[in-house]
Amino acid sequence: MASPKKRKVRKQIGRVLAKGGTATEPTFGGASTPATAAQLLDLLEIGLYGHDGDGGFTHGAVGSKLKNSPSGASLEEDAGLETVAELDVRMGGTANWDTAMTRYYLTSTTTDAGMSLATVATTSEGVLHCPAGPDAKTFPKLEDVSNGSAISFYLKPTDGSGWGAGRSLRVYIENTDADTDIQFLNGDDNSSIGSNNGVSAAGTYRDIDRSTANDANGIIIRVTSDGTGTTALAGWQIAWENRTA
Amino acid sequence: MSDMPTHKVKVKAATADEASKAAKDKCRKDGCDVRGAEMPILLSEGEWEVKVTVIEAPKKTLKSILKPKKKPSKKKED
Repeated sequence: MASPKKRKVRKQIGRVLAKGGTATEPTFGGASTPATAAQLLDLLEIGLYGHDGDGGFTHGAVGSKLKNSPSGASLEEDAGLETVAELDVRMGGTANWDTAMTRYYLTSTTTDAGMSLATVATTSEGVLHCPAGPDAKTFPKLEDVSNGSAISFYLKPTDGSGWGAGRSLRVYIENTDADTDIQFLNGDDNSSIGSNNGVSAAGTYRDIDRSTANDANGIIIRVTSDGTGTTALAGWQIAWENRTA
Repeated sequence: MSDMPTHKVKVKAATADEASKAAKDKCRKDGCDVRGAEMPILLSEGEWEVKVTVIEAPKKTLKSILKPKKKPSKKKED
């Protein structure tokens, strides 16, 4: 018989599947092909942290409005934040923003798009989710979102219409966490364009014009959380589109 | 790090987007280097207040204001 630890892990994975996880034998390559350790770990983390990674999004994926395209079900966002469909209505400068946008998560992986200046995100339409965003894979290091030190997301929206003269980035900020501050910086000189500290209602936005302070490196979105204790932090998301100034 | 200064500008416009553009144009006319704007606030029907993010235009120094005009140079008589 397996050790008590192994039994607990198996029990947890079983619970995930019993709760409605969509993984089946073919998911793991068929009855004769057992699940890999990574797949089992995903299932375990879903059970531990509550995120459903199956059929969901991957960092930097484009046009993921629907969770399961064939079924056509709209995705429920994390913590009651606006859905992609609702954000689409707000975006005036981009037709079909919902299918053009790219999803990003604030992660601790600096090789992921947007998580360092060297890997700057270049999409003109997108959403940056908090680490506990919808269908996010878990990022345990960011469970306390930065825990006092800032984490930056680098964005230079060069695809589509480009980031030339006369362009402007419209950024929608929705934040339900009083302890999370979001600051916007010019990438070239690190000057602060403005901050949205604490709670921001859905629909709150600011325009960041292209200038000599951000034409080379783009915009930096800096997130800091001063939350302490054991209370789980609430969610936030930042959605953007590149439009004419 | 402190944020860039903002100018509160009141404008009349039909929509929030038009208000943003009008407010930015107003700041540019005042000589400011405009870097963006916050979400306009509707004060009353058709009237908006917009915080425009700017780099202040360089202020004129007292010295430059009081700088005496150059006297016309005297022409040498032949």
